Amino acid sequence: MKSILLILWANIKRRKVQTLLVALCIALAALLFSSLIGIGLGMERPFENLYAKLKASHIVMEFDKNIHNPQEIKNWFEAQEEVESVSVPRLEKGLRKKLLFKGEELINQVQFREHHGNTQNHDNLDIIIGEEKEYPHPGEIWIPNHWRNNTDFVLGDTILVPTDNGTFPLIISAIAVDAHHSNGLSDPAPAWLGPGGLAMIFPTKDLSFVTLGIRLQNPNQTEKVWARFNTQYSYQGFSTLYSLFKQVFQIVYQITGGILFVFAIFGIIITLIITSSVVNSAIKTDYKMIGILKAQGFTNRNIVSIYVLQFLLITSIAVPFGLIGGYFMTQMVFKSLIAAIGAINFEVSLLLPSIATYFAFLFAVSAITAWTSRKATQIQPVTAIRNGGPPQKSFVGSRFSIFTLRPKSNLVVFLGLRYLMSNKKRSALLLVGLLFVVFVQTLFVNATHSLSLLEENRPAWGFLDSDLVIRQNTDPGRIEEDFLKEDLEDDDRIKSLVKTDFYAASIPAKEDKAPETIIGIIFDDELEKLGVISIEGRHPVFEDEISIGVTTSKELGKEIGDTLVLFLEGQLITYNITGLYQSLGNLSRGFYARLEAITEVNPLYKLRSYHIRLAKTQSIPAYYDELLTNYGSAYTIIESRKRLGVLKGIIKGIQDVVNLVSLLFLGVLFVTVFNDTVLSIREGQRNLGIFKAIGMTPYQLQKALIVKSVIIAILAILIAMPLSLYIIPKALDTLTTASGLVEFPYVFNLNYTLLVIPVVILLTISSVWLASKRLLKIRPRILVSE
Amino acid sequence: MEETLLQSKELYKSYNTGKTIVPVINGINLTLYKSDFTVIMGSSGSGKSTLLYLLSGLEVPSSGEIWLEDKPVHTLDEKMMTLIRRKYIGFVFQDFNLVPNLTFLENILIPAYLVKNDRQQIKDRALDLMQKMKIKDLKDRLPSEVSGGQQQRCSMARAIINNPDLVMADEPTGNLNSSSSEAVLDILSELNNKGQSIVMVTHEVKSACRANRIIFLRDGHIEDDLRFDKDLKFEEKEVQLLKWLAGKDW
Repeated sequence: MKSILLILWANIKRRKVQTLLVALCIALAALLFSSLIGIGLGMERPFENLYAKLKASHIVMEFDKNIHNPQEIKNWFEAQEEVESVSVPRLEKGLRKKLLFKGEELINQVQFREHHGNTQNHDNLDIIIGEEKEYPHPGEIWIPNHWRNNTDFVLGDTILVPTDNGTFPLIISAIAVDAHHSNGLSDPAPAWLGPGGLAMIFPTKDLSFVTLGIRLQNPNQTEKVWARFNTQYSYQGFSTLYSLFKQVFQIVYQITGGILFVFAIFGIIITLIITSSVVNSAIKTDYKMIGILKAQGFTNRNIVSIYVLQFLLITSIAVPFGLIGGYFMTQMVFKSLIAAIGAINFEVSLLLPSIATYFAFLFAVSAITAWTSRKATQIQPVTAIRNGGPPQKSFVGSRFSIFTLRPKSNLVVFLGLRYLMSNKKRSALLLVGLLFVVFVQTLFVNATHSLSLLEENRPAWGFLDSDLVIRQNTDPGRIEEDFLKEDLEDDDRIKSLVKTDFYAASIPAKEDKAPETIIGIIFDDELEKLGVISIEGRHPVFEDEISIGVTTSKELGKEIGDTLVLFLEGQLITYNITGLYQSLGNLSRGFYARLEAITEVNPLYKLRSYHIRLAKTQSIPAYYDELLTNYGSAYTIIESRKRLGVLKGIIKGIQDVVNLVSLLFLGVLFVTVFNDTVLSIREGQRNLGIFKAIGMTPYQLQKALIVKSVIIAILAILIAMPLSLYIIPKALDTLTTASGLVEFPYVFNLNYTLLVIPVVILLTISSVWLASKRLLKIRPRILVSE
Repeated sequence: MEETLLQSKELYKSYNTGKTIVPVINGINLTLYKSDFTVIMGSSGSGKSTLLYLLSGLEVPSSGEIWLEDKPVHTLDEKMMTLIRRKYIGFVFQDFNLVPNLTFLENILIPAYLVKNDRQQIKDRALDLMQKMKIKDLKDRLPSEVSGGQQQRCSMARAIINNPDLVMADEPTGNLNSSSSEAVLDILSELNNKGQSIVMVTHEVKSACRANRIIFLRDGHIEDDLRFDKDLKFEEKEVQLLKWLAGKDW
C-alpha cells in the first residue's frame, strides 16, 4: 500500500498543473451540483417557513357579507376538527383605479384589506421595514414588499387613493410580507389598513366584501374540508386554496431549478470527460513506468488503485471548494429570487446537499477513473519498457487527403490536423465537452432574448396585446349609457377596439372535489384583435362556446370537443370547449368566453375594460396623455406594457441566475480547452522538441495547437447549434409547463446565436494560447539520450 | 587557408540541479572549419553532447560566445535561433527522433516546407534523397514500422533536405547494428566528400576514423585536438587514433 501511495504522491507532484485543472473542474461541477440540490431542497422551505411563521390560512374566502353571514361561516369552520383557527372576518376593497405615487400611477393593482393585528395569531404580517406595531394607524398604510421591485418606496412616503370624492392620502408606515401574496405574480395583491381604515376612505355601502381565512392543522386536509363546506353551503364568493398559493410561489424556483438542473448535469458530464481524458493521458505518459512497475510485481489491481486513489484524493480536496462556492451561489440565487418575490430573509441549510454532493462526486470520479484506467491493465511490461509508449498507428490509406502532407498543404494546419487525429479519443471527448458548452451558451442567449421580449411578444406569453386599457371606475349600474365606446369607435387613430372584463364563475362540486372559482375573460369582439393565440383549436365564436387554459384543461381532464359545466348567475350552464390557450398571468387557469355567453343568462352584464390597439403611426404615450385629459376622472387608463412590470421583476431574478451559470460555463470551456492543450503538450513533448530542433518556432507550434482546438470548437458549433434549435424549445417547454406555459415563447435570435461563435472561438484560442506558453520552455535537450 | 564556419569563445555551461550547480562545459575555445568532418570524442559525462547542442543553438550557454560565420548565435533569442538552425544546421540524433505519427516522407518534408516555397521541387528532392538512402519504398511508413537503420537514414535525409552549411550528428550509430552503422557512416562520408561540413559526437573509434579532425573532451574542456593528414588511409587513421587515445587513458 505504501508503495502505491508513494507513486500516487509522485504523480501528483509531477503534474501540478494537471492536478490543479482537474481539481478546478471538479470544484466547478460540485458548485453547480450542490447549488441544484440546495435549490431543489430549499424550494419548498421559504414557502413552508413563511406559512408556519405567519400562521397563514390554508383556505382564503372572499365574499359579500350581504350574501353570506361571515360569523355563521366562521362558526361552521371552527366546529370542524381539522381546523386549527379561523380569522376574524376582515373588510376588503378592490380598487379599480390605480394608486398614485409622486404624481404617477402605480404599476401594481391594489386590494385594500383591513389587518386586525398579529395578536390575532392568524394571517399575521411580517414587518420588513418599519415599526412593529399591532396594525396600521388611521391614515397609514402597510405595503407589500414586492411593490418595491418597481418603485422605490421609503417609510413616510404618501400614497394617494383615488376615490369618487377626490384623492385620499395614506402614509406608508411599514413594508410587510404576508404568506399568500408575497409573490408579485398575484395581482391585485393586498395592502393593509388598520381596523376601520376602509370606512375612512370609502362609503360604507361600498364595503360589503370580507375575507375570511381558515387555517388547518394539516395542509393536506384542505380539499377535504373545503369539499365538505360546499356540500353544506351554496357558496357564491371567491376562494383560494393552499395548493394554488404554493404553486404560484414556487414557479420561479421551478424554472430556476430546472435550468440549474440541466446545467448541473452538463457540468458533471464535462467533469467526467475531463477526468477520463486526464487519466487516459496519464496512462499514456506513464506507459513505460507502468511496464516497469508490472515487471517489479505490481498487479493490475495495484496499478488501477494508484489512479483511483490519486483522483479520489483530488476530488476529496476539490469538492469542498465547490461546496463553498455552491453555498454562496445558492444564497445568491435565493437572495435574488426572494428579493424578486418579496419574501423575507432565508437561510438555506446546505448540510445535506453538501454531503450528497461530496459522496456523489467521490463515487462518480472513482467509477470513471477505474473504468478509464482499465487500459493500464492491458499494458505488456516488455513492450512498454522496450517501446516506451503504445504503438503508433499508420495514417496511410486515409480516405481524407486533408490528413496527408501535400505540396499545397499549410504546414500549421497540417500539424493541427495531425494533433487532432493523433489522439482521436481525446479529441472526441473535447468535442463532447465543447458541444455542451456551445449548447448552454446558445440556450443562454436565446432564453435571455425570449425573456427580454416579454412585452413585445405578449400574446405568446398569454397576455392581451393591446396598447392601452381604459377601465370604467364606477359601478356599471350607475352609468346608463356608454358614450366612451362611440367616441373611441369614431377615432381613426385606433386600429382595433375590444371590450373585455374578468368574470368569476364556479366549477360545480363533484364527488370529493369542492367547487372551485374559475376566472374567465369575457370579450365582445374577435380575440385575434388582441393577439390571443390558441395552442389547440380555436377561440369561442358562439354563446355556447368557451376556450380554456391548458392547466384548467389538465386539472379538469377536459379536451377540445368536451363540454364544461359552469355555475354562473345562479345557473348551471353547459359550454362546448373549442380551444386551449396558455397564459403565464394566471398559470393557464381560466377561460375565454364571448359576451353573449354571459348576457344569455344575465342581460344586464356589461364589459368595463376597453383594450385599444393604435395604428402603427400613433404614439402610445401621446394618446395616453390625451385620454387622461379627456376621461381621466371617470376612467382608469393604463399603458398595457406597464402592467407587466411586476412580472419583469421576477423574470430578472431568473435571468440573473442564468447569466451567472452561463459565465460559469464559459469558465468551464476555458478550463476544458486549457486542460486538453496541456495534455497534448505533455504527451507530445518529445515531438514538440523534435519540431523545435528541425526549425519550427514556438509560435508555429502554438498555432498548430490552436488549429486543432479551433477545428474541434467549429465542429462543436456546427453540431450543437442546429441541434439546439430543435432541443432548446422543447427543453424550455418542459421547464415551464408547471408555470402553465406548455409552449415556451421561444424566440430564436440569429444575431445573438451567431455571437456565440466568436465568443467560443476566441475563448478557445486564448485558452490554447495561454496553455501552450509552456511550449516556450520545452528544450530540445529532452531529445538527447544520456 | 581554411574558412571558419563556427567558433566558440570561452564557452561555459552548467546545470542547476536545485541543490548544486554542475559544470559541464568549462571555457571551450573552438573553431570549426567549412568542409571538415569533425568528431568530438570523450568519455561518458565529458560534455560531448552538451557541446554539440550548444554549438547548434539547441542549448543556451551559461556564458561565452558562439559565432556561426558572422552571426553571434549566443545573442539570439529563441525565435531567431530557430530560424538560423532551420537554414544552416541539420541535426541527426542517436534516437533518430522522427515524429512518430508522421510518415517517413512527411518527416523529411516538414523542415523543408518551413524554408522554401517551391513545394513540388522540395518533394522531388526528398524522394531523390530517399532514393539515395534506399528508403524510398518506405516513404509512407511510420517510424515504428521500420528498422533503426532505416529510421536513421530517414533522419539524415531530414537533416540535409535544406542543404545546411553544417550537419551535426549526436552518436548517430549508437543505436544501430554494425551493418546499419556502416551504411549511415558511408552516407556521412559521402556528404563530406561533396563538401558538407559535419560535426559528429561518437565514442566509437571506427566511426571517428571517418573524420579528418578529432577533438577530445575531458571534464568539459578540450584536452586535445587531432588532425589527420589528408592522404591517410582508413586503417592508418585507425592506428593513429588508437595510439592517440591510448595516451589519454581511453
